[in-house]
Amino acid sequence: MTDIWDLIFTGRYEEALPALIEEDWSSGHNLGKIFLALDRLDEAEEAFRRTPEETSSHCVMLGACASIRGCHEDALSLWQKAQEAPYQDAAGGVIPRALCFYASLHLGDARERKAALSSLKSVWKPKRTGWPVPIAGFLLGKYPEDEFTWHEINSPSDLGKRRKVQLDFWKGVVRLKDGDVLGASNFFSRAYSPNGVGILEVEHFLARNEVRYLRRSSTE
Amino acid sequence: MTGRSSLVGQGTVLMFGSETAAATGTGAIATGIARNQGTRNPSVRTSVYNGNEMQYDCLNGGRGYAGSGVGAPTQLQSRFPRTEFQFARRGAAGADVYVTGGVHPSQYPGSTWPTGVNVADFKPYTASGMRAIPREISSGKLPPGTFPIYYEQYNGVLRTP
Repeated sequence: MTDIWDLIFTGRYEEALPALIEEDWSSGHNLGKIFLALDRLDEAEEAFRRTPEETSSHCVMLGACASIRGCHEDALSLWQKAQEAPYQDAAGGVIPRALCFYASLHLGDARERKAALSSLKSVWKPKRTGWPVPIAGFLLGKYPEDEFTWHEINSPSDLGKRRKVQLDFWKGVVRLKDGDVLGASNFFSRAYSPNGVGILEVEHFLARNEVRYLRRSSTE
Repeated sequence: MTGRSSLVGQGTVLMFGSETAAATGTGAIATGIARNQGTRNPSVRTSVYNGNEMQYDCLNGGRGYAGSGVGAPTQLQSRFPRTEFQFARRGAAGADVYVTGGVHPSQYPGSTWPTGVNVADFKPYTASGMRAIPREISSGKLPPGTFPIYYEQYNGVLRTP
């Protein structure tokens, strides 16, 4: 494992940045996330624009930047576009669909919310438990939370940590949908808690943004 | 409809075709069927079915080896837990796997994944599976430098990387 990753996974992003700029083999994806972690949103967007468009993560991360800026309509359209990319997560595009559901909550748009849920139904099959299929079932209310948590416990260490970020974020989203702001805030805080490899997931950044937003709202 | 019943269904239709064509002796079609080519061949059909189940373990219809749910994408992600992978849609052109971020697979201890290569393709660990990669690269079906990830056909376990 290279030193860059030791720096990144211990949260020393500034130190990792020069080396990452020099040898960003993935044409911007890792670099974009480090810029995002450093709150350098413009540079993050610039880096994500250079990522391969055939992967859904291109639009997923650009949508995350839009969402962090508070442009939820732009985020929604980017996440909808992400569903059409030839390369998707292992479950054929659960994450972009789940993100559309998340954006629809922010927009308060019942029609978009219904469309997102309908889209999630297309990737949810009860017998398919390979990750990230359970996220679709959980958001649809068809996959119990304790079974959902099983995926965190029963994954190899680093994968388990990455899934924990995702699990906590989506648990927070469900609570947000139900109007339980305190519960949502707790889960978003857990999803954002620095645990190294969690930075690889888009949910890490969205959770951080939610924590900041909810804190600002509570102090106002 | 499951992947299996769908394939079996296709096979059944083709067998009817075979009998009709053989009876009428209609040129190329009859010759091809007589040779038991493509998915008319039971062993090819089984390979196609296994490949489909292996490569789309988390998708609708893909159940992994012997219905275990543990197919190639799940195994690959477990082997490289600090890497972000994306996978081609079923039937999509191009390589099966795209490395989109995180620690590059070449940087893991004991990895045979070449440095700087971000695309890979799942292939059965058979003579034809091994021949397929250079052939598909030269025909343009796969991008240059595509890394082959072989799996054992009898138990679905990844051999590389």
